Amino acid sequence: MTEWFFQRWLHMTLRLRLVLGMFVAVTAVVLVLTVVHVVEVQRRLERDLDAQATRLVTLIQQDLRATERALDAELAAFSGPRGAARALVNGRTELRVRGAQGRLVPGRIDVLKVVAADGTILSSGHWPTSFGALDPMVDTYRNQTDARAHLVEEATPQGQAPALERWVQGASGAKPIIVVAGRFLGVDALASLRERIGAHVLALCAHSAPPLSPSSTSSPSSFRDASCITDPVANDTATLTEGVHHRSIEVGGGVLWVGVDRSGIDEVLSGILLRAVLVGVLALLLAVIASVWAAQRLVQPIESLAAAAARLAAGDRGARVDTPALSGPEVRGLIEGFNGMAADLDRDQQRLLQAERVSAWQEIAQGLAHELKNPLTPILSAMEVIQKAHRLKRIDFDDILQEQAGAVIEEVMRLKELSDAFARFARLPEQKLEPLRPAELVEHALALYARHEALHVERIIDAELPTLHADKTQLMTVLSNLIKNAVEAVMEHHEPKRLRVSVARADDGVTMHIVVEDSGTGIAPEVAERLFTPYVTTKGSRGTGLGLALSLRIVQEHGGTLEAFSSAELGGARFVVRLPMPASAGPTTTEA
Amino acid sequence: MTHHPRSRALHSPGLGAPARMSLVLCLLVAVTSAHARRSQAPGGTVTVLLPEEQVPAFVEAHTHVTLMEHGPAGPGWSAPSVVGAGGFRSAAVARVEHPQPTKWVLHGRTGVSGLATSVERCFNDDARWPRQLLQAAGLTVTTTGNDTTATMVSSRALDVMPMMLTACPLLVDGGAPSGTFAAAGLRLSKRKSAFEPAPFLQAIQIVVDSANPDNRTADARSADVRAVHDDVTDVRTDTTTLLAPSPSVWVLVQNAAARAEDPLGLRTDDGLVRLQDEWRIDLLAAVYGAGRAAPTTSLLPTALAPARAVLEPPKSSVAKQPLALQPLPASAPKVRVGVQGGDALAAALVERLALLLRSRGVLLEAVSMPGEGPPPSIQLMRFVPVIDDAAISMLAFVGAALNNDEAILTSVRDARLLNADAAIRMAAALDLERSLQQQRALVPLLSVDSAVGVHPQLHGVRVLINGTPRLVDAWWTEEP
Repeated sequence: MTEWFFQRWLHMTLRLRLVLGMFVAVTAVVLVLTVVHVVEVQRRLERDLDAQATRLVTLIQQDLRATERALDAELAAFSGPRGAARALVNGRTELRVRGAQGRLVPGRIDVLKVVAADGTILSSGHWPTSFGALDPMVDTYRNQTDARAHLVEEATPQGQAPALERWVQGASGAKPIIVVAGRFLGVDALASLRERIGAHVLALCAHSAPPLSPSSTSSPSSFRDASCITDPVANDTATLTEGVHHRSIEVGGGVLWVGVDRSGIDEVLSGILLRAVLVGVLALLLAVIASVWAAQRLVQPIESLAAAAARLAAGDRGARVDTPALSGPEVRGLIEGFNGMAADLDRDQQRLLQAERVSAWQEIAQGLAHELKNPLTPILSAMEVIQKAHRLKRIDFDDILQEQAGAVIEEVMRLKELSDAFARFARLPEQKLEPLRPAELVEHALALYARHEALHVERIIDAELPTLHADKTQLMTVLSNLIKNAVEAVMEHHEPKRLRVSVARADDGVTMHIVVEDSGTGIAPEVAERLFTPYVTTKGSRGTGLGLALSLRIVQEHGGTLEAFSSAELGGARFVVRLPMPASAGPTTTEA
Repeated sequence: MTHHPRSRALHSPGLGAPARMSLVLCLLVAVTSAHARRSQAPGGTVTVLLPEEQVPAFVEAHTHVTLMEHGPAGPGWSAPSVVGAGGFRSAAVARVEHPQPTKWVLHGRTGVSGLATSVERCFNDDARWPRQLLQAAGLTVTTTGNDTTATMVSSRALDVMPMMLTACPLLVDGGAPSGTFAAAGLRLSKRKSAFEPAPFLQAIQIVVDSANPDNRTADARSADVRAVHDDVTDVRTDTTTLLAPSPSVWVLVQNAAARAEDPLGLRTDDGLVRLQDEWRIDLLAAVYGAGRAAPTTSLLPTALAPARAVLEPPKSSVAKQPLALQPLPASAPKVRVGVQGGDALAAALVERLALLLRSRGVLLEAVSMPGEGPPPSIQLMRFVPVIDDAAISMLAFVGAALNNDEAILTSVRDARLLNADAAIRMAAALDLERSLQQQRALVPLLSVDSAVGVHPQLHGVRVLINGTPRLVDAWWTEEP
């Protein structure tokens, strides 16, 4: 993955890298700021919620104490020496069954019962009318005599509900009895607490079924299993277990679980997250716009510089870059530097060309002078012989004259030949382009200049090459020069006398090459560097020294190249002519 | 123009001139006698305290005449007899024909309209016992006819058709009053153009009883007629107490599902004995029955059934166990129990039943009846006789309480229950009572007399068999 990304990154444009980089940077900043903000807000809200829960616990404890006092007062009145409890036990059946019912005060005294020592309920006022039934809490009533109120789960039409109970043990005549009074911690209690502390109290739960376990102080695993009075606003288990901040209150005989609704926190956090997402999206949008704009400003001059450099490299010495109006000093300096460099390069090039031109002409003049000097010496000698023979009145003066005049004429003719060749070199006629088949051209040249019987000529010619658009006469001059040179080199050399001419499409697909190689002596290293310089020849007085120079110029005029190598296979020289093929004959693709 | 019923006998076909004269003289004497009694102290208003569920029946009993009346004539004015239906009287129907075992034809008295419509609506109203009886018996009745004639054709022989018509009000003009009073809310006002003679009372004011007797208003406490069961604390020493012809019986009803699941363990005699022991019906009857309730082991009260050998009380070999009030979470198994009526006795029965079920590990969910949704599998219902006939009353009750219980419906489709012979019907009713109890479909708990307290200066009040007071013939006398 990293490698893949790295490769992608390497191939990205600078503009895309800049945009991507700014995008990532802005995203990271927004993300970090959001997380920090959310964590901070959550911490603050949790502190508030904890304080709220503490206040709630205090209020509930106050409530419990007040309830204890109220229950104690009721018990004192109910079970005292003149209280109604005795009447309930000893009175008429109707009193036993309904008497306790009449003592109930909803919200103050919800539970009221008289229990015999064996656990039989003698009279009960709360639901269900349970006279004659065994009270499951009798052991607690009998054994727990501490001063604290106890949390007891009492039956309700819906199941069980926690009630805070107080009881006293007494006697009715000789019969020991237990009088129990209690108050349900029900929905009304939740509503009352909710109003007073301004938060949702979702559940009041007695954690264990009777007998209540004082040690059950761990967090309730599920309110579903516990006996809970739940606020109707959130009466489902998921809300109770996940959306509630729990606190426990130790009550005699059990634990009272209190849950404070934490949905407010979740709502606030959700709001922050929502706003953060919106701000983040906005920031990212702005970042993209800004980065595109910045990248444009930063990259555009660089792209202009790159384009100008490419033009310069391609030979456009006038390539320059305009300085953008709002560019900074760095970019402006870079562009000015490039333009200055290009101008210097142009001037140096001009100077170099001038120098090369002068140098070339110096070489040409030197060679021409040398070539001109060679015939002049025999002419001078001949003229001095003629002059001397005339002065001596030689009887064979006519013969001498005839002989020396012939030599002079020969040298003059040579001078004329030199003059013609130089004229051709100096001023090539205008090209007459026509379609030519390279194979035919090569065959024609071979037919003219490679007719020696001892010569072994090899042809490797691609017959499917496209036609060239070239000057036939000039191209024939090139081929004849190369073939003639090769034939002369081979014929002076011992066996084998081999000449190989090959014509084929180059590997680049857009050029073709004509290769002429031989088994001659090859090219001497001292000559190789100046081989295409005018008046450099290896053939002594037999050559003009302009053949290869003229051939090179013709090839260059046709947009090609001419290079000389040593033939590794045949042992002689190897000349390679590269010519561009017509555009329509470009590279062919092979489909699989 | 409305004709008074007493003039219609003059046009009865088939009577000779002497007979007609005799009949006219008899009618004149009877009407004069009735009016003489009513004219003792005409006018005045009576305030009647009623449980909410009894209000519709009370209003209908005063605003509509029934197609048939059964039983002996009352102390006041009585409707004329119906030709062709011995023992029945009617202000709306003059003659009944029974040409085939499955066919009955009613001929209305002069001026009566809507006869066929009244019968058809009555037999298709799910809330009326004729419809419930037909469902229980597996019968269908097709009614045709017009304003003055109705022809009923049943799918099987239906000899008790006149009895069923006692539950059908005469609906004239699409439901307009046909009785002696017209209702405007809870106030009934005297009507003149009725099929019966005008009543003495000018108006009747209904006061609906509060669910909690302690919350009764001053009007309720001072009502002239009090048809509530728990008025022990409001007793006036000079109140005249009238009883309905038959007590009602509180019954535990178990449908097929309840009998299969048997949450109360009633399938065995041991279970039934345990339930009866733990329920302490005797105590509840004593405390909440206001002195008018008594435990019973029979469905049919004495007023309906003759002296007979009832089922032998079940015996149990299991030692008595104390009732355990075990704690149950809200997720414990739960049984829906339908409860009919909302008086203190009903509440005590349900509360105690909740305790019994809780001791068996089951929670009780009380549902008021009639209510919406599927009927509960267990119901606490009052068996209130609809007519002074055991078979008809039981059929109607089964149709109301167990109309989806195919096993029970199969057992009650006994043709003898609808036989014309009262003795045969009674024998079948006793068999049915025994069968339902043995199947534990019905468990009788206690019988309660329907008592009506009446102001000592108010006379002529009748209490119908369903406990509804009827004041059509009532009048005030001056204080002695």
